[in-house]
Amino acid sequence: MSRILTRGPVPIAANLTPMIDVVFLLVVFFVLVSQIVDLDRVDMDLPAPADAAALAASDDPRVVINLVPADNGGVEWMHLGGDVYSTEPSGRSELSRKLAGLLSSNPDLRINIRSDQATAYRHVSGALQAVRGAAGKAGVPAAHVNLVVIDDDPGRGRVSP
Amino acid sequence: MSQPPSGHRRPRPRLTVPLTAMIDVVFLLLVYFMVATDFTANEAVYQLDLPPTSIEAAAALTPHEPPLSITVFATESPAASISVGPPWNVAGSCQALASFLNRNRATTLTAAGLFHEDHPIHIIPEDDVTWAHVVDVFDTVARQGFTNVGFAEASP
Repeated sequence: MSRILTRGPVPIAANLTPMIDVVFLLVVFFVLVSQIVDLDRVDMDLPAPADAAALAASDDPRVVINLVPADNGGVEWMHLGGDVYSTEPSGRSELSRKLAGLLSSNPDLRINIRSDQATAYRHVSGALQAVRGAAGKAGVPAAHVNLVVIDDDPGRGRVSP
Repeated sequence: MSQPPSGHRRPRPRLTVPLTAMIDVVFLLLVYFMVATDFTANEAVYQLDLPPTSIEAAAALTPHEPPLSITVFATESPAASISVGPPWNVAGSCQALASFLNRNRATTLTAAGLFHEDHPIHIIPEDDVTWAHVVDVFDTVARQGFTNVGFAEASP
């Protein structure tokens, strides 16, 4: 008489190793992408006026000039996208040329200027002069500039007429 | 070949997928996105238009009325120090500037005001003024509803 062997359930396991490899590839991808996106947000102490009348940043096409702070209210270099410019007249001239090229292709481009609150105005003035020069080279009536500050509730502080 | 007796069936194979590794990966992704998320305060902007520096452009944009000039002085105090040029001769902090602008702003109700909201206003900071003080003055003017605000260079 034959014996009937009752076998237990047959375990079927999917091999997850390739899936984990792909997930880690995705994680590395997002880490690298995050670093590229954060080029426009250099760490610095932006001015934070109390109850500011500043507006919320819009989604209009823009470029961001970061005035990377140095010690004693100075500026170490000027940062535009992935390019770095010195604060010397030659650096400001190169920055002006780069901005002129951008303004030529898009006259409505907004130019965000981010500067540390302790930076002396003379350095910001240099960047503003570079922007003015770019507007002249590009032949636009005026360059649209955004001064970037910290404000938790944009648009709240304006006095109604 | 032996057949199972009638009435007796082989148990159906059960599929099991070990989820331990998948849960570990999900927690890794969760930690990544928590670390990568930026929880800093919002950034806002003041908008202004900078005309080019060419003589022709400057001449074309010459305001029909003299601009109101606000000089910002370098100071060690936390508050900005300003003065409004003659004939107004206002000096003090941003509160004094705000009071002066509020008193003299022309609105639909106070048509006798001196400055309309598009009156040209030039902010003239000294070279050593901190950017925070410059922004405070700009904010004071913007908060009073003036829209034609720009920067001018201090005369040497």
